[in-house]
Amino acid sequence: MCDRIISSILTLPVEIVYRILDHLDNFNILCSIRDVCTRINTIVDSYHRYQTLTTLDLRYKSIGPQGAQHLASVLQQSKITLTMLNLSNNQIGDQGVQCLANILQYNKTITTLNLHYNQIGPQGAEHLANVLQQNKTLTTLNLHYNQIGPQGAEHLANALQQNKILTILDLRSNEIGSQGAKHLANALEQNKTLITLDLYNNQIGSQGVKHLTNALQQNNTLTTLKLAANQIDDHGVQYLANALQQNKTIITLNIYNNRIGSRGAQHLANALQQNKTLTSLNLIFNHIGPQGAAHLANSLQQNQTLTSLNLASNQIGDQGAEHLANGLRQNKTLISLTLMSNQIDDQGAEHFINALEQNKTLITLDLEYNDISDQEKQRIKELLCINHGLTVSLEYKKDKRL
Amino acid sequence: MAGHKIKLQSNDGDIFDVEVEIAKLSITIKTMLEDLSMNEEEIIPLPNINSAIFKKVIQWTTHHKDDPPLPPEDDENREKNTNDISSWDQEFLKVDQGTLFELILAANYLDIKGLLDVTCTSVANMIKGKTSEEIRQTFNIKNDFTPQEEEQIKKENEWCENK
Repeated sequence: MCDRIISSILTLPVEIVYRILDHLDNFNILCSIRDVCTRINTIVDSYHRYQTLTTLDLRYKSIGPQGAQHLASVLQQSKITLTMLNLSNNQIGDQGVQCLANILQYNKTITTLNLHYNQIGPQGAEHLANVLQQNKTLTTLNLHYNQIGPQGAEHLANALQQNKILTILDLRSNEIGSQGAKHLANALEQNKTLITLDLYNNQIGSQGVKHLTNALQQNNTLTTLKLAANQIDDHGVQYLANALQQNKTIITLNIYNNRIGSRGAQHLANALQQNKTLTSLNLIFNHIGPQGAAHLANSLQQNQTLTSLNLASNQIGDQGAEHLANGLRQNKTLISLTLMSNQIDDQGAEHFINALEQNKTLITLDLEYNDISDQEKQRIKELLCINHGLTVSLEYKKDKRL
Repeated sequence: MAGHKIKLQSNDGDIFDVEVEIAKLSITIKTMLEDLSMNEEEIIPLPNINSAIFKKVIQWTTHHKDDPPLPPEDDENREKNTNDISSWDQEFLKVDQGTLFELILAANYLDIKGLLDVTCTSVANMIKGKTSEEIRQTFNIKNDFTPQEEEQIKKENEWCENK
């Protein structure tokens, strides 16, 4: 019998080690199997999946600060050219962010970085801000659901004054407050790259809106502004409305779940009569009421740009429905109108049946979760859906998003 | 021709009578029988496999002889989604590491895809979730980075430790 080398993972042919790697996910390949020994590193370097790795999805991997540190060091040494790194839900914290920031300083391939829900505070934001001042690659940064606060916003804002590449910044739920909004507003006066800013749920209030709208007079780049759930009242929305009269850039305005009443709606309606840029307005969960709906309906007669209006959950009622239906008689632009959950009954629905005879633009009308009888629903189906080709949603679908 | 047997010889000289249908789960043996039109009375030598490992291979192929054929491999998308191993296979794979790697080599040489798959999965499961150091311990691998390389890795790992 010949002498045999006792088989081990190191004596396996390369092709078989590849087969084992086939059964491992990217995180295990990067953070477990690399740096074990030189032979395995050589094999991993030549492994097809590793060489062509551009998108690294590491959501929910319990990476933590240590894991982030390890990952950063692996990414630093490796020759892979990542474009997307998703570390959502990993508790990497400020320390983990610092490690990642170190690689971003030199990285020239990552365009999208997702750090959603990672317990990142002002310090972590500062590390990222330091990178953003220099970085020429990152276009999308998601910091949704961290705690960067006003201080963190200030760091990022300072960076945005220099940065010429970031187009999407997601700062949802970061407790930045009106002070944080003020810093970002300062940045928006200088910045010429950012296209989308999402400040959902940041307690910026009407005061914060005031700062942001001042900046919008200078800024000609931002097209999507999301300020949902920020305690914005009629006063705050007046700042927005005034800005919209001048601004020629904002295409999408998302201000759902605020405290906007009929007065606020009136301000917006006035703006919509002048504005020629805004195509999508989301006002879900406000207090527009029938009177507010009347104001918006009036503006629909003039406006020639808005294609999507979402007024779900605004206590509009039959009276509001009547106004909106009348507004649609003249309108030649609106494609989608959402009136879900607005206490509209058969009478209100009937106004749409009558008014939409003349309208040739509207494609979808959402009337789910109202008080429309089965009989009336049948009429809508026959007269609007079949005869008029309209898509009308009447039954609430659980999986549907607002 | 159920029950029809052929003779296969391991590298330590033992001769095994194996049902043709089971032996043919090995693409290597199937090819020998069909393409080389070997005489069925002839003893087929398997120079890369010892008796102990070949017994395990026969045990596995006998259990899996009625498995549906595996889908052809797609070179572009080889990443496997599932790493589940059936309880029979788990029991079967309760062997020392030397045997496990011998089985992988045998499955590879005999070209038995199912066995190669399950043995590779088993090794992958031993790797999952471990740190590099834990993997060295698990597989008894020596850290052979040069002091300079080691220093480099360490330095990069220290980036954030002091802050």
